[in-house]
Amino acid sequence: MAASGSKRAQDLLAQLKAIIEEQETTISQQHIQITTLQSEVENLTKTRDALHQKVQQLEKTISEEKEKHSHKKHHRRKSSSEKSKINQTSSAQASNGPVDEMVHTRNTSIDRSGSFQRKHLEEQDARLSHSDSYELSSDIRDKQVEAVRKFYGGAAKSEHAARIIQEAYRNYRMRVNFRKIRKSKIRRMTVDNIPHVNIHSDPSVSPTSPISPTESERSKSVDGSEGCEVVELVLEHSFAESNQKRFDDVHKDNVPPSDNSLKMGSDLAKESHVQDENANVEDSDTNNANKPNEDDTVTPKAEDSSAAIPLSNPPTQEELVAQILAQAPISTLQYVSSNRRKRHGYETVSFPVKQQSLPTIQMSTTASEAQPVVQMRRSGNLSTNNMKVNNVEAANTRVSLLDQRAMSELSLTSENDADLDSMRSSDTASITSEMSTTLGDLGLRSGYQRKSTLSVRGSWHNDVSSDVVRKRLYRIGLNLFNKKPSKGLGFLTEHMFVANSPPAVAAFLLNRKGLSRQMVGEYLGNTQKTFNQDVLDSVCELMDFSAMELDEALRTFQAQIKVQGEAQKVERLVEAFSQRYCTCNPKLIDSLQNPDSIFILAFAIIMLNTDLHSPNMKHEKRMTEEDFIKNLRGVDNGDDLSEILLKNIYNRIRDQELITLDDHVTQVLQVENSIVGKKPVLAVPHRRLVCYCRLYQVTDPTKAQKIGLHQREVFLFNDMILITKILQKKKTGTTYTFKMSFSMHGLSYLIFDTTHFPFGIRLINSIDNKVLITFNAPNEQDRAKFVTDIRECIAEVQEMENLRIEAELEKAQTSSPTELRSNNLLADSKKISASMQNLNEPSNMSSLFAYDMRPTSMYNLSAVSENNNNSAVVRDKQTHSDSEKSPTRNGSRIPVIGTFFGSSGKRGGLKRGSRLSGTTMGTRAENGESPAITLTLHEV
Amino acid sequence: MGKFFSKLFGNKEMRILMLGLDAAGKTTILYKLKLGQPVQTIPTVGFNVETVTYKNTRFNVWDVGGQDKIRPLWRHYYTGTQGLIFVIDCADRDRIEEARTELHRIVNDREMKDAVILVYANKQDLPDVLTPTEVQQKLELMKLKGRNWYVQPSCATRGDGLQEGLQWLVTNQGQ
Repeated sequence: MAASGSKRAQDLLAQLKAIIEEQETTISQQHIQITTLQSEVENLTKTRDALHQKVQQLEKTISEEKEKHSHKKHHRRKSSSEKSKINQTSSAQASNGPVDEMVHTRNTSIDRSGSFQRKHLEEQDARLSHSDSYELSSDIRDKQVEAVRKFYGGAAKSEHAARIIQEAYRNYRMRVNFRKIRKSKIRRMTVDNIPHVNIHSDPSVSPTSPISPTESERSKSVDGSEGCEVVELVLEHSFAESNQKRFDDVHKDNVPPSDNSLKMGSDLAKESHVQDENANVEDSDTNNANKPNEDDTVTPKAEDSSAAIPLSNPPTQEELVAQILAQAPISTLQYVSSNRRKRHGYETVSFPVKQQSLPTIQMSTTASEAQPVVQMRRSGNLSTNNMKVNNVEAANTRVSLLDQRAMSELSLTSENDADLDSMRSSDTASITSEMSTTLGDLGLRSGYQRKSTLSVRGSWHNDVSSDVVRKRLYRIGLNLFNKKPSKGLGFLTEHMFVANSPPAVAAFLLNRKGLSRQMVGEYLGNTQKTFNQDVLDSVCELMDFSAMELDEALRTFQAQIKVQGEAQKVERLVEAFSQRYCTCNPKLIDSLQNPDSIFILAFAIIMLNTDLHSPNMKHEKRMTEEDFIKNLRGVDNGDDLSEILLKNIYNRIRDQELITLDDHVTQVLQVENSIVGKKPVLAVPHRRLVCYCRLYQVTDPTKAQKIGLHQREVFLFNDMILITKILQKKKTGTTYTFKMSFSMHGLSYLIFDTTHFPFGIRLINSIDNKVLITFNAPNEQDRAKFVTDIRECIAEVQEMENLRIEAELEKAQTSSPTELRSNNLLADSKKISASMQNLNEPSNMSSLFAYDMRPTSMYNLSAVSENNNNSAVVRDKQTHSDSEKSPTRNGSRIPVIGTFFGSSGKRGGLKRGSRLSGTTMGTRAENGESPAITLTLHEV
Repeated sequence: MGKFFSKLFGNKEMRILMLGLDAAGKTTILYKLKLGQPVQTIPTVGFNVETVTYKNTRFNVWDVGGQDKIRPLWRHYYTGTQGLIFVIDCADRDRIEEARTELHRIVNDREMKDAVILVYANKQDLPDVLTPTEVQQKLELMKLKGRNWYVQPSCATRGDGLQEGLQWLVTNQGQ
């Protein structure tokens, strides 16, 4: 027993010894690493000293330049750089993390000079060489940070130094750029304008592929210094706000990673299009693992793609890096992988000087003097570049192959990433931001050319997006105007689209497209606001009626502004018009007893027009010539007007109705009129036709389908998508039958390609992720254009909804107790929504929508009615499974209805006499109209 | 054929003028009444004229109004008008006097002597509004001797009370 006991003890001892040995080895390893760190730190101090010198030099020059060039951009960039700095020091501010980091990367990318860059390179390499220590433990990591900071003379000091360097260089660049921009203004315009065509999506404008400008630009930038300036201009334009917007949008869109990355991928591909073919070969040879799966069925692809989310796939990344960084220290690979896994480490350890050192090399493309270096690098890294391009492409293809299931997986992955990145990204951890940061990280550590391309590309996109955002804001302004003119104009002035003065507004109203003429009239006819009346006077001043017959002048006037509606409004418009007419025709006025006669006659003309042309007037009751003359008897202070004049006017109005010029509503109306049979109400002032596209509906994505089967004519409006089928083609025009329509609200899309359907698009209800419809586009161009358009529409609607919610919240903040009560009713609306399901009267809803003057409920009702349409269609057509009508679908309706009730409740204030309720409820309920529900709700 | 049936079933037509100060809710009422009935998407330039069918009566409603200068022009439409809908913004206590003057001026017109008067006391959903009784007093409806009038509380935005008003018109027309 004793022997066995001692044996065991010996064993244990041996084990202990082994363990101790192990620990000793690890400790020694750590020692070694610490020493390497120290040597590294020494290196860093050297570079720091060099930097200090540089800083001093630059400071001198800058102090001079600063005064000269206190440009707006400077302030903006400065503030954003400070912001990013703050972010670095206090990594707890993780909520803005990704955005800030992007800003930072972009800022720093503009940041250095050619000679400067070497040192940073060294620094980067040095840092990378010790980077494996990150894996050891958090203690050592912290110590390292501390040590580095000590060497730099404290965190604050080193950061300060870094900031000075940044500012100095920025100022310098800004000055250079400013000059260049001024010179190349014309070219810049063209560069800027190209994306507009795509984004604005004017149906009349032929689609230009977004790739072509990119390509040309790219080639320029490679060719010489001129290109650089374009690129830099782009960088100049990228500012934090647009970043934020972009990310928000991206996040809302739900699916854009695929599209975005695809775009990026294709851009990249085009960028090196000569090398592309080689690259493709290379790709297939060396990178079989990453090759896009050519499988037919979607499900396996989903798994495949979820495993191969771009650049979050460890093997892909490491492989990539290994290939690209053949000459780099081996430890780099380790670093990257560790960085990927614990990316927040990158953030916490981040040290200003270091971080700035990362994108150093980007200057090689942006700074013109470094151009040769770029080209050299370019050729040197040709193969690796191509590899990367193709990897990106491959990854993108895979993403674009995602189907719904894959998407959920994708989002899951992104969530995981978000967890890892919790320091940096919280709720905004969209896959794209994820991906682009990864791309950024990768780029910074790897192939020089690649890196610069990526960062420049990113900012270029960003520039476009800032422009897109601006355009979107403008469209939102127009939409608001077309819903409630005063509100819309307030929005437009607030965002500096129009100056807040009557002449400016007048010019805006007359000259800009996209304003409903009906609403222009509505706005100008406002009798309550003096500003509107001033605008009306200004509008009239812009028109010349001299030597025109009164009715012809009136015709000109009302062609621009619809004179329609409430009598008082009409009167106001006609009054302003006739005043202007009088000033234009002083001679005519002198011949009259009373100048007011012109006003009365003009009013009578409008009346006559209604009388003669309104379909609601019975034919036999219409005004005769005699009636017209008789009605105007004794108008001119007791005198009659010239009978010939009146007769002529009568005949002209009878023969030719007063008609307002076409606007976007007429276009929508044409679509509406071309649809035969049951259809939703389309022609409302705020609806605009964005594009028309022929797509083919896909009933089952897994099965092949005859080409040309299920042809659908898709009309994309700014707030809804209408799917129709051609009924008849005639010489006079094509007629369509209504298939279905979806509101843009809560819609998202997904593009995919299978062998059967190479240009697939899928529309998804982003609230419950149900597939609404699947299409296949005839070609890639059509799909790209359609996707660009629909993305913008969704973003537009989403932003409008956000604005509306903001406004509602503001209202709620200043709410009275009664409103609180109405808020409580929101909860009750859930119960009601169940009964809402039975209400399938889109026409009722729509007409309610059309004539309800309150914008909030208009908006909500539109959503409700669309949903109703949808569910009705689904039931009719049975194109989708029954699960389409699952509770989640209804659930999506709840908040919408809820807000509607909220708003009406607010108005209601629940102070209504009981005399109203009983009978009203009865009749309303009989009709089965929605207001009955509202009523019940309030009676509850 | 249509005429035959309308005679058989007593389909009636009624010409109605709708009046009231601006922003009283006339337009809203008019189109709320038309709810569910086809509406011209792009209305004719000019005034709001709609035909509303309620029960077996077709109401041809003209939304008229405006200042004194142009009032004579409406006279053409006064002739043969069987009903007048006068809309009051009950939340606008300041302008009720103005509304009264307007109403009396029209009602006392020779051509309007046979018209029945329906007053929509509108915007009843807002807080602290004139009650129907108050409206009746403020409008001095009692002064209208030998006229058939009725004050109907309503909320045009929700459509409450509108049908009841039409019902009153149907039952009281031609009396």
